[in-house]
Amino acid sequence: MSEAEKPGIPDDLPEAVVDEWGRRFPVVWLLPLIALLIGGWLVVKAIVEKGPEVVIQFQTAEGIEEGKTLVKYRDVIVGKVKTVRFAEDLTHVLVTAEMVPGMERHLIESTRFWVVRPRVDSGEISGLGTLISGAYVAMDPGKEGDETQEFVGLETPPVIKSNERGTVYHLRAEKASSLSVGAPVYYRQIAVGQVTGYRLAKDHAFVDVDVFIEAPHDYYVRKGSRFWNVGGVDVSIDPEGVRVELESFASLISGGIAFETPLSLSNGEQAPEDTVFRLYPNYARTREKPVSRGYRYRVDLSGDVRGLQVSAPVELMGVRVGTVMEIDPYLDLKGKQARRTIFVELEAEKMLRTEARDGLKGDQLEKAVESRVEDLLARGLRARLETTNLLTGQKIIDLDLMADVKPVKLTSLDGYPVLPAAPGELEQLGEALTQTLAKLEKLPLDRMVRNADQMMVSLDKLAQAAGKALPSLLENTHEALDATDEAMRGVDALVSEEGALGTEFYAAVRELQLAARAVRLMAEYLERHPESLLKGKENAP
Amino acid sequence: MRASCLGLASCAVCNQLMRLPARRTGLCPRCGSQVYVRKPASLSNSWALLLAAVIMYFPANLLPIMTVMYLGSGQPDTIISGVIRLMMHGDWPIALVVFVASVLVPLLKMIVLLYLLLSVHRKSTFRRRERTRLYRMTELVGRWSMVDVFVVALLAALVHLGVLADITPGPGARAFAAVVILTMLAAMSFDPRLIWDREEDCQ
Repeated sequence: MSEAEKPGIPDDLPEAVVDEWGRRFPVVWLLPLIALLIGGWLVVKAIVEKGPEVVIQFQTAEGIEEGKTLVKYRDVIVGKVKTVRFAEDLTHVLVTAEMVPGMERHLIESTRFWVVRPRVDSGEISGLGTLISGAYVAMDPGKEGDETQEFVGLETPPVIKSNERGTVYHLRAEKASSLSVGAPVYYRQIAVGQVTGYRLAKDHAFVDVDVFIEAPHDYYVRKGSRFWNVGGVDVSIDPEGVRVELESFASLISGGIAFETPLSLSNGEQAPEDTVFRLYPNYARTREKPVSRGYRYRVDLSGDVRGLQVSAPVELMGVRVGTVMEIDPYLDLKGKQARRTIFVELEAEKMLRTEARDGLKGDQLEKAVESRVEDLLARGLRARLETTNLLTGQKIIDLDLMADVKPVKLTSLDGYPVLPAAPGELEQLGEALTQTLAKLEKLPLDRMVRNADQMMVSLDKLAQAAGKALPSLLENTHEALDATDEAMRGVDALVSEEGALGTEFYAAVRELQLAARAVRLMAEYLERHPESLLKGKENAP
Repeated sequence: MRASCLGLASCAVCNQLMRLPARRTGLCPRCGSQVYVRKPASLSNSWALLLAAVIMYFPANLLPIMTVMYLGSGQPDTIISGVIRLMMHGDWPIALVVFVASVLVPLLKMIVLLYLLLSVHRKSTFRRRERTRLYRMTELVGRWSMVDVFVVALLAALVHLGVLADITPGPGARAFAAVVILTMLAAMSFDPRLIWDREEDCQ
């Protein structure tokens, strides 16, 4: 290709200026690089941000929608339901939810899930917001446990959220008696906690009730606190009349529990979590039963123990200090009298003053109780079987200080200290009667009767003899009386005024009268003229 | 016969015809604009932009494009899930429009560009006229994909009714906008004259 062959091209065409910059760096290739970076970052982010998946078991999937229903904690979205499917045996549904990243460490065994739906309970109405927004799965992160991916959802919202501070205690009751989950726990009639659950104990012997006492009120739960049931209305009849007690209206419907800490315990320490308490059926019963371990003593009773029951009170001068724990069915024939051993427990709290047992523990406390019992024994302490109710024949063990017994030392038998026994009051009475009768029985009645008979016979004879002698006797008597009469008349005549004796008597009396007057005159004169004693009587004027 | 065969080019700004140096690119002696026979680095730029667009296409379709909350309930939607939702509601025409504008068009655009670029590389002479028409259509239709982005932007700005209804754009919207812009740029940097370039023509 030569210049000449190119027609029509003007020769004076300018030439383009060479771009000194030359071929520039292909900046445009940064774009796919950036896109790649962004894309890669998004992918990495998606992978990293993909939260953990959990599978939650529910009875029904009511209100749960795949890909829509959210998992919330404190109303913040922490996950979303991805799929809902059946368990293999169709007994429940498995809800798979994807949680937000970072939730892994909260997905532990104690974490709980439940579905929030509109709900009307005896105590409250909840979940109204879900009427519009639809149900959601609520999460309550647990505190401890291993990480897990599988959960069993709760069918009802938990009463206590894990973020609430407080302490869990367990109560043992004889029966559930209208308690329900969520029932309030009262302390001085202020609701301070709730029942979080109840179930039959393993051996079905009692009901385990879990209660949650909110902080700071849990501080008032002490080892010696007493819990009792306040559900429903408590109607009791006592000497003051009929008493109706109702803790609160709510407890009438859902049941409730109250507790009380004796003032003597109020400066102790809070009972540790999971402490087991006894749940008394009513307030009155909390007063009857021992609140702490008592110290065991044995009482060997000789009499009939009918009417004495385990858990019967042991009273010291009329105040309950312990409980009958065991009645040994074995009748001991070794001694003089057949005896039966009763085991009783004396409570340190009742036997000792608060100051005396403060700071004592275990053995020390036992020693303190023993020394107290020794003191009492020195004053003549005896255990007696007493009938408290003549109608039902209920009996108690009464510890009494008796004046007429000699003091004894505390001994122990088969490892238990012995409280010496004395016959009961009724028994004593019976014994006295028996003794009297026995003495009576010993009297020689036969002989006595025979003697009496003989005596009667001789008396009879005597009477007969007397009967025969009576007429002459009467006559003699008559004569004697006449003689006496005459003698009396003689005396009378003698004494009369006209009688010799009378005249003499009167003359003497007159003399005496005159003498008395003379003396009086002299006395008067002397009073007026005491000097006459020395000078003699002056001549009368 | 073409100008490039003679080593000639005209300035795109002032139309000054000039000889090109051996490098085939330079500055206009009259107005100083860059003068080239074909768009410089057209293929390279096109490739780069197309590649970036393809990469962004994935997040654009996989990530949610917006979240519509209506009366407290709602969830983020990707383009496809939005289309499916519209279909389920029976809004077939709208679903179709959205599908075509947001899924099909960008995809076809990228496929077309890819095809054009490859065919230019292979210096194919197959149906060059149709390929040129294809390019024009691609360039024309590409900008309409931006409608989606505008809709999202408008809704997100307008619908803020609190609990009643609330629309928030998702990360997919940004990726989608990037795809649309990148494909438009790729189409722009492609020089359709390359379709017609053949070594033999200068013989």
